[in-house]
Amino acid sequence: MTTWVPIVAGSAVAFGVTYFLVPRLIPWLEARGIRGVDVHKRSKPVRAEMGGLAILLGFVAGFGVAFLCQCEDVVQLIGSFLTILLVGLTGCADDMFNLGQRYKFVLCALASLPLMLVFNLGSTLWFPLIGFINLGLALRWLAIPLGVTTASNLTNMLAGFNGLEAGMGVIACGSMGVLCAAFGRTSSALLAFVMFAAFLAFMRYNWYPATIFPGDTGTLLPGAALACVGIFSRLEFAAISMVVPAAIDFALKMISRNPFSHRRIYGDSVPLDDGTILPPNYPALTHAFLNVSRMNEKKLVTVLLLVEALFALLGVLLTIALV
Amino acid sequence: MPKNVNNLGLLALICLCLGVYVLAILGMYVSWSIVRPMHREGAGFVTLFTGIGCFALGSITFWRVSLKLAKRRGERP
Repeated sequence: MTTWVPIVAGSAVAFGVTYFLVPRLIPWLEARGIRGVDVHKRSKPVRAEMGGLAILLGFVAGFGVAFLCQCEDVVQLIGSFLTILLVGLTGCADDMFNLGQRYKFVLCALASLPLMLVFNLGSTLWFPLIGFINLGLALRWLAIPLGVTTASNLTNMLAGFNGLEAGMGVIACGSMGVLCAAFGRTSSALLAFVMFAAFLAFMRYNWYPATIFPGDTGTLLPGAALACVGIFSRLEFAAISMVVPAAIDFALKMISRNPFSHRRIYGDSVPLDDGTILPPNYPALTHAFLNVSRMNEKKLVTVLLLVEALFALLGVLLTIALV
Repeated sequence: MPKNVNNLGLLALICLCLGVYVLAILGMYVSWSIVRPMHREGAGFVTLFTGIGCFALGSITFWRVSLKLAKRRGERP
């Protein structure tokens, strides 16, 4: 029973701090000109950006409280926490100074250094049908930086609709928390649940119609948290399953000629009078759904969250049934 | 809410997403079965890269099928 105390206390604090901070952060960000246009609405309202800062601060406060009551896996917890924090700070820097994509990759890879240094949990990865694949030292020195960088940048790319980033963070971190708890990995469950609580509180303000956007701070965080929790708990396959929708989106964007300048060349999606969205003509997961069925933003986000929930469920069930 | 939401099309796309995932796992399984008996050390990397390749292939197929579905609805030329 005592193992649940840090998780419950940390999650409650993370939720409370994020919920308290977001409404106070909105005027502060707007006064400093950190704002973005909600391009999927006809009226093009301008909203505060970088709301992920509240998630990050909520996570830091929640983790701090949980850490005071936690006695196990202290070193691994600190390593994972530092990695998530550094990725969040990279997002802050990107929101403020508009870093290029290559700098984000490098900074996220550097952010994974604390996790690499404290990782001592083996050299194998588990996959269904195959079993354990031995990667030797490459797991620590190659797979961890690649995993953190890839996961955080994938969740960063599948974004831009009200409630999508927060919703994906809630589903992914919540599912990983449940899975870690089911496997008795309470230290990694702690990280997942604290992040889940912070995203849940943020979702109240980010859900359609959003009053604040997460910015890159909020979109890089779920991927980094997933990668850290997955690696720390040794349940990497479940974490990989949860980034599959974002990975499909990334793969689709990469097959076109100008993968990093789509918005400049093709423009944004166009919201029509009936609220539905007309997608621009380049490959992306959201555009595939919008091409097949005309939807408004809320319905599109619901469908994408359903897809994410499906993959989360698959990852959890396959891991529980086959490991 | 618009009246012309194509639920069947959406369901087809969700199934295709699952198909991409299954294709990647099956690709890894086939690769593992072939490579592992031949070269034990590098088998893990070959398997991982095959999985990524199958995933990319599946994603391209996903996009093409989505365009065909859109064409059938008259949404895209």
